[in-house]
Amino acid sequence: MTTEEKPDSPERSTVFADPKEVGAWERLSPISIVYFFLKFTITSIRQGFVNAIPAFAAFAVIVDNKLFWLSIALPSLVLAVMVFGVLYYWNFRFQIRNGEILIHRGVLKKEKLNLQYSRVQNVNISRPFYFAPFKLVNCIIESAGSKTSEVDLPGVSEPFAESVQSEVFATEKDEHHETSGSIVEPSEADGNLPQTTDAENSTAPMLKLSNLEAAKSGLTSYLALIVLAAFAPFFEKFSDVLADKFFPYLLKIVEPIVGDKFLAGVIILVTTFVVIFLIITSASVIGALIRFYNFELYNKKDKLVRKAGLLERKTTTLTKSKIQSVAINQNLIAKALKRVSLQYRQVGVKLTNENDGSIQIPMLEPQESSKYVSVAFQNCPDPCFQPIHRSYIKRVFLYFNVIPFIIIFSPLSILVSKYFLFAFLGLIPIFGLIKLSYKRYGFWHNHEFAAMRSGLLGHRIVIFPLYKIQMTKFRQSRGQRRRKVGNLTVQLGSGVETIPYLKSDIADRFINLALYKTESSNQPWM
Amino acid sequence: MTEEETTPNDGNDIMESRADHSQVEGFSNTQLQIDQLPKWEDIEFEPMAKNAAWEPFIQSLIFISFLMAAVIAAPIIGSKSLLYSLPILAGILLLFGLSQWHNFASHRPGVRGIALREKDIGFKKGLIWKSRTMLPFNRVQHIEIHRNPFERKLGLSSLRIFSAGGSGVDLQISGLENDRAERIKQYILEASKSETA
Repeated sequence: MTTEEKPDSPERSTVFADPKEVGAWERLSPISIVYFFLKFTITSIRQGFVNAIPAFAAFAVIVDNKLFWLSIALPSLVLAVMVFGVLYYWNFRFQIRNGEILIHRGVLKKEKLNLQYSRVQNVNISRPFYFAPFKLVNCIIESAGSKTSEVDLPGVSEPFAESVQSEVFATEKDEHHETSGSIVEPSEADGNLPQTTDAENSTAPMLKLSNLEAAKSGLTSYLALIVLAAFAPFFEKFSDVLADKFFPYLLKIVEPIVGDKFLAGVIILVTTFVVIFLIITSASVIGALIRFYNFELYNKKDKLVRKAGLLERKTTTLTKSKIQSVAINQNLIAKALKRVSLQYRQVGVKLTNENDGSIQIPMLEPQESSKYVSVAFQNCPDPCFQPIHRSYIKRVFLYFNVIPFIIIFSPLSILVSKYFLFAFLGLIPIFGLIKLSYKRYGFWHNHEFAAMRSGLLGHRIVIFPLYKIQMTKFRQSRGQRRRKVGNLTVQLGSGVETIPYLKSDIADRFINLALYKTESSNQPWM
Repeated sequence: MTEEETTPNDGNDIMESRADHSQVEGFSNTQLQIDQLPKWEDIEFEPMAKNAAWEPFIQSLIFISFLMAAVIAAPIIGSKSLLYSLPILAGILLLFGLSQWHNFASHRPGVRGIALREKDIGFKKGLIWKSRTMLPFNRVQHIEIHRNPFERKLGLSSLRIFSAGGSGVDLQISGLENDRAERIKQYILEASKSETA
């Protein structure tokens, strides 16, 4: 990737790159300094915080005049990052030349990048709020297979970013034509039919999510609980402060109103927890609004385009043929709200991460999900799931729960206290959960597509075309062999999916079909 | 038009029944007979190298030796009787014996094996948990041969095959003779090249 290219034409300073003038070294807009400053600040906090813990500890223990030194250290750090941002901008040069982007960047470590269009996985355009008044955007170029090889061109004009995007996509199309020879016949599995519908041709979004829905999606994320768990170690300290300082003060106010000290205490405690929970939930909702504000999904001929974001309006473009699977998720909160979320997943994308080119629709009515699945995989019917073998309940309960419980709690109840026998009551809810997960598991396939369903209280469905499968694995224990069942694992470009206790004959037929489809397909899978 | 018509059969015997001739010229939609596809469950797997089980045995032996030395040394350093170590040593030896019985048994022909077909590679392993993995050549991203010092001494190689979407090596086949590993690697590389050409 790194080359020894040298600037071979005189440098010029331009406010933003002109799409028509290629072959000359370009500079970014000076506004990009703001972007670099924010980026390096976040990077420093993320990466530097953990490394700086010993320094913090030393500071806390050794240094006497903390406030004084802090007032010097903090502005110095901010200044250092600002200077770094300016120097980074100053050294940043790029040019577009014959289907490749050349970039020279770096302050202490100089980098010379040569990104060929054919190696580019995706080009996304985002508009941070501070770029908006200047009509500038950030052009994010992702090269295939690596997260670290992402290149940002912040502070370029929108037409320029769009021209890079369209050139990359044009190169990509040519590549596909070349790799698949003359057979680029669209199949029903891929959905790249030449006939485009009116909806695909129109510039109107296929889906426009109201901001109320976007806010609701914040409720469905478990972020609130995660944050709550992360702060658990501080609760003791927090509750001490609360008990010493605020509790007596609040008690003085509440007790005369309710007339009972105990009741007043309970009310204060419950109210405090509710307030904390509401604050965290609000943070989650605000987070969702920042991410999904004015969410729009466009269905263009062979691409899906998603536009959303409050502080940074990000445009993510995903080539439909690169979609490896579609995941439909519904957790308990989403179930209560009668909504699902849907994610178009491409190679190497983790289920919860939307920053690397996958597209997520955060809120959808369940009955609408099949419409959005067919956008990626045309002619994919609604899956009709087959249950897994019933022996799953018995074996998981017996071998992974009852036996470990007996091994752990029987000796404890004999040697330590008979009260440990009560632990066996825990097996009752566990049995219920195993039964629930048995009900959620499901498998379906036809000649072109397959779907796997799993879950506990909510559910997760992953749908994929058979020809996109990377690898299959079938695993059986002794007991499973006797019952003619086994665990089927399918590796897709977007991750690994497993369905347990599937009947062997179903798995065998599926693997034979999947291998045939994968091995006989001339369609590019990525 | 479906994929089946545009794609040549490529040696995968009877894939489709051609019974339904269409009325419209140039269009057909033949039915796929899944039961007539090549059966992966009938694949015959070739055994691994005869000395394949010795490499994990040597590795375990070295680990166990260090562990036993530590168990013997502990009472000596602490000026205690060696009798304290005996039950632990017996336990370690018992576990080592059991694990090595499992190691040698799971390398027996019929238990662990590799199979190459025209378009994919299969690998089966496991004594109690039996697993069979199939990886099509046209999904191979990268392939490498790995030899640790013990493997080099025994003339063995491990084949590591990478495809997309996995978290590391997607298929690792240890216990292959050096020349066989090289031949398989070449075969897969050529096959995957011709698949994507």
